[in-house]
Amino acid sequence: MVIQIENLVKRYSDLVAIDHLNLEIKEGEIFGLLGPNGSGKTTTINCILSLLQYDKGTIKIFGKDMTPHSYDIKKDIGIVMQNVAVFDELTVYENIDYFCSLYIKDRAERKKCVEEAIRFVGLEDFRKFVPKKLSGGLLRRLNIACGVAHKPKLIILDEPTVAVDPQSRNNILEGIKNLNKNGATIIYTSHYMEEVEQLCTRIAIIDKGRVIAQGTTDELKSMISQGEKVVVEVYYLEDEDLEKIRELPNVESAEFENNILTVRGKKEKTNLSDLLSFINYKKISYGKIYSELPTLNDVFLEITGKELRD
Amino acid sequence: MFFSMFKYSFKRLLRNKVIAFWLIFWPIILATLFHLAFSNILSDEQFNDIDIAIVNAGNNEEFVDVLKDTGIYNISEQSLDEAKKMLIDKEITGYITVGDEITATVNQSGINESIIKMTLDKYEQVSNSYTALITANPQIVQSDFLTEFDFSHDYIGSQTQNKNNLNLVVIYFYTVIAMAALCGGSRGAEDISGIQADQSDVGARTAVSPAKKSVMFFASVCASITTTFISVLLVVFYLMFALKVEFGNLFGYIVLLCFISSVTSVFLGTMIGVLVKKKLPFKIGLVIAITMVGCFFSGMMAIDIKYLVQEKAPLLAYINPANLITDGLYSLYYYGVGERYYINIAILSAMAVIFSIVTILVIRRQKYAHL
Repeated sequence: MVIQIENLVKRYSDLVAIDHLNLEIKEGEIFGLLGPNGSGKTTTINCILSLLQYDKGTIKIFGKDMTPHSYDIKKDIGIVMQNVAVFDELTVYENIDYFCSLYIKDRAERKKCVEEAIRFVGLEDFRKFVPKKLSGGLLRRLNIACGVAHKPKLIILDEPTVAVDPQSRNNILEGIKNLNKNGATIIYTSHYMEEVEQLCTRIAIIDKGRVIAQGTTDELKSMISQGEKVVVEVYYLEDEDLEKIRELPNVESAEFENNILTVRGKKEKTNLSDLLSFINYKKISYGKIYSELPTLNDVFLEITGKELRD
Repeated sequence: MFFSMFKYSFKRLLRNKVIAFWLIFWPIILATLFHLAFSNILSDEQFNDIDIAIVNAGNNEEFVDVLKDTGIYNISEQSLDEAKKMLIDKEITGYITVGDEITATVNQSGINESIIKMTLDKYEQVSNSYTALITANPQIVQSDFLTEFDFSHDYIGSQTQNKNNLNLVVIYFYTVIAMAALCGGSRGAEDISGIQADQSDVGARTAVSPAKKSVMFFASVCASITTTFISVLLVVFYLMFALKVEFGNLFGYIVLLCFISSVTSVFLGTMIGVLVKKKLPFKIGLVIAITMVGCFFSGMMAIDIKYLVQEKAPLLAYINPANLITDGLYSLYYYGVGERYYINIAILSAMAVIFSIVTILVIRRQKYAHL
């Protein structure tokens, strides 16, 4: 086990930021911490790293208790903060070299690591640039390079794609997959469910400082009662027809609002063909039609009654 | 690890334009403005040797030697006519005729003329004392008494040292050096921000690394002291060579004072950095504010304030690092190396020790409830 957290409690005065949180993260995983803003993801990370004092609970990393002075543990951890943490006065190369020097003393080895990190994030053409000359996406890449250049066994990425353009985001996500392929265990926090779904092998959904669900994407989706969602653009629909749609086999619910008909199916059942047959039979004119499998947002919605991005 | 951290901290400080402005360019601008404002005063107060002529010098060569020993006269031996002509042409302040009596002739009244008169009075007083003693006791000539006895000894304890005495304007420039040194505190505050998780993102990143906080702290502080020291020396060189401000001849002691000032100011900044729970710009602002207030009480705006503080609130003068730096430089220039210089050095050093101990104790005990 790379990380073991038991009964973690962290309070800010009267506010309970982390409420008896339990987590286990295995070696080789890309573990996602998913939750809305303010759910306690970053606080959890800061407690794991001993940056914050916590009120109760135990945190073990690589089987050892984590404290601010656990230098033997820290040398195997890489952190990519939510905010870009680099020196404005140093160049790309110098920034990576500086942070790498906190972990690796040998100059030759460090130089090799820095060069690899620059190649890894694709900043070869920008090595002499100072941070303010870089775009937002490139800056995020530099932030990642500073966190992973020393080749840590455990990498914690706290919302690394906030305010990043799609191209850089894809680049970053691919890079994280490669880090994992090279043997690193990854903890990835985000409030972008698509990213977490695409990237993570296991996910914990956090709300109000508590883990409300955890498992693989499929396991999480199987926790909820609803199945496929079919959305149809309909120009006019009688109330009587809407009632009949609700009575179709495997239909969990049906709503019609603003010319959009949304039909949710029962878990692991499909109702698309029955619905299309009904629409054709009733000669209801329709435009765009598409179906969606349940997302993590649906999981979150069903468990908490609110959207992930509320 | 230490060297790498020191190297990059040093580079960062060299490239930080805001800090460079406060440490180098602002003092240079201010000193230049002072120079423009005080250049007339400086030239008025500059003590130049007094040009005099001696007529019939051969009549009393001992007297001429006494005049030369004072070190304040440019002496030329002339005939009476030539001396009169030189006085009329204002080539000399006056001429002294050596005969049975020694008389001084001047053309007007002024400081230099008064100095010539005082010199003659003093000579007459001492030579009369010799004559009286020898007349009363002729054997005294055979003894060592006359060579050992100091007829010109001043019993009131205040003794003029050299011709620097008249130039008080230098204090303004010394306060500029104090300002340059104390602005180094902003570097100290930045050092703390860079290693504390609750102060900056970089601080959080370094806090999760296996590098010891003490090593990071000393590496960045050493870089800050080095750059501050270099900055202060640059300002001193500018004042010394470009503006021709008088510093005396004790350059090594000036360098020592500048170095200790740099150490003290950086540790003042680190102490503010750990004790004040605000963002870095606030802390830098606080350092600059303390610097400016300290310089004000050291006489940056008016020299009288420095003396007023020393008279009415001596404790404030002793705990004001700007005053200690200014006074250290001033005492070197005015009195040379002595007790007053060493007291200033000792207090500055003690401050540096106290500030550094407070900083280290707070850093070591610090745990974060919030980030």
